[in-house]
Amino acid sequence: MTITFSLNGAPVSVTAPPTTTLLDWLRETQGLTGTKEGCNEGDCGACTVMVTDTAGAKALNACILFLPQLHGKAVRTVEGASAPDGTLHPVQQAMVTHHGSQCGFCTPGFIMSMATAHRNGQTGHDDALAGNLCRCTGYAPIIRAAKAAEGAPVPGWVQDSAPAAAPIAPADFALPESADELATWYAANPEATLIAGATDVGLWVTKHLSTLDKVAFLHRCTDLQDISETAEGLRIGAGVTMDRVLTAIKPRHPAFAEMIRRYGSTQVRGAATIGGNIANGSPIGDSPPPLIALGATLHLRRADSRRSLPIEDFFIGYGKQDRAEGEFVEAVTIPAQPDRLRVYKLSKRFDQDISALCGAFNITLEAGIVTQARIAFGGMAGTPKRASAVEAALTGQPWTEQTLQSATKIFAEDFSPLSDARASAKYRLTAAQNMLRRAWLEDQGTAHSVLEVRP
Amino acid sequence: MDKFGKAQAAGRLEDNRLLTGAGRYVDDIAPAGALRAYFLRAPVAHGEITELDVSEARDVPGVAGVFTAADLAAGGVTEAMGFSVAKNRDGSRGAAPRRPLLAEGRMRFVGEPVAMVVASSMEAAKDGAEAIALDYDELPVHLALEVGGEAIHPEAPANLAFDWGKGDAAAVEAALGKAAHRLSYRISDNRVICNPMETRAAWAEMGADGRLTFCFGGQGVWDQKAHLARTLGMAPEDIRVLNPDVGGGFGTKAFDYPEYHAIAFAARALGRPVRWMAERGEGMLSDNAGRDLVTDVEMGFDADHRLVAYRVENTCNLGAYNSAHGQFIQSELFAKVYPGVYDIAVGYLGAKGIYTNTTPVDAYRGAGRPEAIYVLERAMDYAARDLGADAWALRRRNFIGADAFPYRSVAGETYDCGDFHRVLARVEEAADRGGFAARRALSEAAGFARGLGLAFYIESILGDPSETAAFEFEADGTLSLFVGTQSGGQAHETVFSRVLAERTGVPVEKINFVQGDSDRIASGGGTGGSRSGTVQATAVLGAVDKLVAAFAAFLEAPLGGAVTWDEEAGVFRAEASNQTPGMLEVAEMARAAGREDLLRHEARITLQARSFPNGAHVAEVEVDRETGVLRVDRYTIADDFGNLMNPVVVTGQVHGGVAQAIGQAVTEQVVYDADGQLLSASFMDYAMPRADDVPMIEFHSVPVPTTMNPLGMKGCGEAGTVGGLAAIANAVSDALDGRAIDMPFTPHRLWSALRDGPQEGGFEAE
Repeated sequence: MTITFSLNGAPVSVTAPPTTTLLDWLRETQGLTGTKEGCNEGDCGACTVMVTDTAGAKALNACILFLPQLHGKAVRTVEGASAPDGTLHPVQQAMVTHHGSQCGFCTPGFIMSMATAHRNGQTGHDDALAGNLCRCTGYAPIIRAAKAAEGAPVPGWVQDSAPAAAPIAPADFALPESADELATWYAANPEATLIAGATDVGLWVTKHLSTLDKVAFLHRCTDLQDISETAEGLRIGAGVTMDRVLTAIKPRHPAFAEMIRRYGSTQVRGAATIGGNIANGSPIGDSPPPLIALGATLHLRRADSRRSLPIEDFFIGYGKQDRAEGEFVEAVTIPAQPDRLRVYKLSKRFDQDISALCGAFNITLEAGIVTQARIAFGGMAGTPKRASAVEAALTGQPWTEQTLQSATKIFAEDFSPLSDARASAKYRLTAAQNMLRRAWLEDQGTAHSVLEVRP
Repeated sequence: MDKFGKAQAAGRLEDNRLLTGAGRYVDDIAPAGALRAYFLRAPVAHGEITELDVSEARDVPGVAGVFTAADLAAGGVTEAMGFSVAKNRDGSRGAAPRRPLLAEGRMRFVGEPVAMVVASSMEAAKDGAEAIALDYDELPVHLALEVGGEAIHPEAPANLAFDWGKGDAAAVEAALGKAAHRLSYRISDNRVICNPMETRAAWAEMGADGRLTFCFGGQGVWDQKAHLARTLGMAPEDIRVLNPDVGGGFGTKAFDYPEYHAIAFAARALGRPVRWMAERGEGMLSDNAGRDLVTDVEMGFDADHRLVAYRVENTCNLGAYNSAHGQFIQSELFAKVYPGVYDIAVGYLGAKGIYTNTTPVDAYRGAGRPEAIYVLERAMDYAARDLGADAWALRRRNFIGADAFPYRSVAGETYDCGDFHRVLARVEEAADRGGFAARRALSEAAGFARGLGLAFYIESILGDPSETAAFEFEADGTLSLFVGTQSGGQAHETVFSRVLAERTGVPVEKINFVQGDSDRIASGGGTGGSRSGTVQATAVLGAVDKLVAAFAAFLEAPLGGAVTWDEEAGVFRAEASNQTPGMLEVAEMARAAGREDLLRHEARITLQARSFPNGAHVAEVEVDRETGVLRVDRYTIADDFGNLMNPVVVTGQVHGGVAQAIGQAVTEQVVYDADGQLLSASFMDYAMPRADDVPMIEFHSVPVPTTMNPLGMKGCGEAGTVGGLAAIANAVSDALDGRAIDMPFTPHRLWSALRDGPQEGGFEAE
């Protein structure tokens, strides 16, 4: 089955196995070797390309991007960053001036991340480049180059628009155009794998060498990509990518937004969807703890039947979710509420590192008394899990040091975390307790988010 | 003779290529139709192979060949990997157990290559590997950095590979005994994985003429040519080795690896080109690792706090085999600068090498010098604490004075020049040490412990002190420059082409820079030990001298008298003529006159002695008291690199070196489980520093030009890493009220230290 997209401004039609990655296709069949493989798992950004769809331009990792995901999009590689006459893109020129390249292997990926941020007018360079590793420069020259290029006009040649692409009938893979189409097809093919952003499934293929017999790509289901205000709260479609979740959640729950900013790179946030992050059920997935703490409702659909459940009930056990065959996540709703959410993530490195643990606290107070406590952790058990005993110990009690101390002792009733390479059980348990303390301290006005305090 | 020219402009000749995707690395230029190689690697850290049956794998569709050690032997290849061994204290030689190209009977670390499958696609190669029947009896593993345990090699029954020493042990013991203060510390230096962004890669192809072309991402081509000639039993002239653009080396790519031989063998055996590029996890398992040692130091101070005796005993991890120079890193190379910048009366350095069931360890950026300076500068801070002295004042008291050069250190090295007091004064001002107390108070008020750390390093340029440069005037009016070094990102094309342009008047765009081709360049020392700038630039100057002399002599006839070279104008002049030809014109005259001998010039130079870059690093860190999260907040350096040839490139080298030090000190943690499985084998598990982890770094040049090369340069490639580790670590200890603590400073470790006091060693299991 043939998909169509544009490559560096020229239309292309491709017939290839559905799990062919863009990176392999570029390097092996197009002779476009500027795009590099540094890890083949979306961690290093050496393969970054600019992908434009109707919503705009994104920097994405080509190593975990399957060709069908490009149907109806425009791809620009480093070979297309400079003009056909050789004129350098402003970010390339700035990289020359500021000595932003040494060995040059990571450079094409940086150029494409920078060109995309530049096109989108983004000036948070540490964020935009958190998904690109460099071993030579120590980054400062690259950041300087990105800053220097900020004011330059966006060159016309990188301003791709998404080409028209006709719907494709399911064959060796499905490319549904709507949630209805998906529902029908998935009910008939419940053993299939659904691929939204491929930031996890991509690794099954590139790292575990899994063969996916039957797959559907969801990016054409635009009705799964809506964010809307409903009577129940903020409803976020399963196909909404994490960069949009971040924007939508930021005014409501800035702590959640801050955590999203950290847990994936720009490239990963641009591809990964909230539905994928939930449905995959990883014990260290970072969005479930805040969603649980916020009392979010998950909406599932199988064919034409729909059901909703509290999101914490979806996670049954390690690798096991409350999801019937052929059933998929359609949306998640976050009830409207005053912002009391605190989210803390601990990892070795600030950006883009797997959590040792991630804690979310939503503690409601009235006249100094805890009226409701919703607390959830990732990395403390086989699933994202609520701290029910701790919540009970807090509820109805004054929000004081004393309450805090007695609640702290209860943590061991809720969790018996594992020791592994990321952290010991003792560290996890004590850090979880300290996170509660930090939430309390923030209310006392004596401590703030790590990000807010700068001397 | 001072040949130092003006500092080169910003902008690199490489940039246009590398920034537009036109860089060409090994895997970008593999021959069309090359077969893919995939290595089946040891799944356990220690095991005796009981079955290795590849017959089914050979039948997998697409598989062109499967190779084991037995297949290599059947093809006449029985040689093993080469390496050098240290000399033991008792005069005997370090252990030299055979390291096979592919496992022979026993597997000794996870990731050791066992068999190679070559197929038409990577999928077919991996399917082939899955069809290999590998059975084994697991053996107990030895992972501890100590003598004893399950023997890995019969040649080293207690896993002690070598036991090396240098210095007067008795004199040191006597001086320690008499010292007013005798202090001892144990300091560990964690293992790191180098992780150049381009993983190791190679391809090989046999030509119809029976010559082998071998292309790999390396740090020089000539050693590899010799290695391949030896194992394959080929004449060296029948092998051409290439290094194209190289995506970072840092020492790790300087060495020979088993995969290279297997690939070359397969290309020859099958008569088809074979290519391989390590996957990231594969690289993390099989690239030589760095550091990984623990050191016991003893220091004797007199009543005036003068360091009168210094004893260092290293115990270093070699991994499962001797790698090329594994036995030399924490012995001979550590020794170069182990007394640092201090005037120490007597010293002794000992080193024991231990085999463990882990990936072999070899040079990583700095190779022994970062380790030596880390130990010394940590110990100086600890000693200052125990003596009740100011750490900066203690260093000043013990500095070798500016008037003491040339100075022969207790390690036997002659430092030619330096002015440590001036460098330290500069960094003290630039880092605003005076304002630290106020910054600390602000941090404390916000819940952060703040610390300031100083490290004063000196480092020794290593590698081959000889190098060659050659020029050839081409028929198209350009000038080719052939060098024996190899760029892995250090802008050699820019630096050496500009030196040549400046000295000859030939415009830089008319210069073809040629490196990394053993057919076009007869010999060279490659890249390593921060040698390239000093030796290669000196060789270029030497060749220019020959060129000028030869051209001037040639011009005497046509110009009618004595000819002089006007370097400023880039032309030859003669009193008797108003003709002022430039180099390219003279070359054309020579060509027209049939003087082909004048079209090629070559010089081989040898530096009379090493140079010793030195400098001071000051780091300031903040540690979150509740979570243990650390941030490097400020970083200031004053370096004496002598003259700077290209300040922008130098700054880039320093900055990148510091970033690697920050990585090792703060985020990078190699974790093996109790069975020797590497748990940190992906970028999700091995935390490389990202943009946000590295601060802006302030760099100041305080040059004291060396006289050991005509340019007065001292070298800069590794200095950032040499100085960085102790500066950060000392800052962390300062933040923790002077407590001892070892790298890496992960949140878990810092948090534990804040709660429970100092922690030793790595991950705390429960």
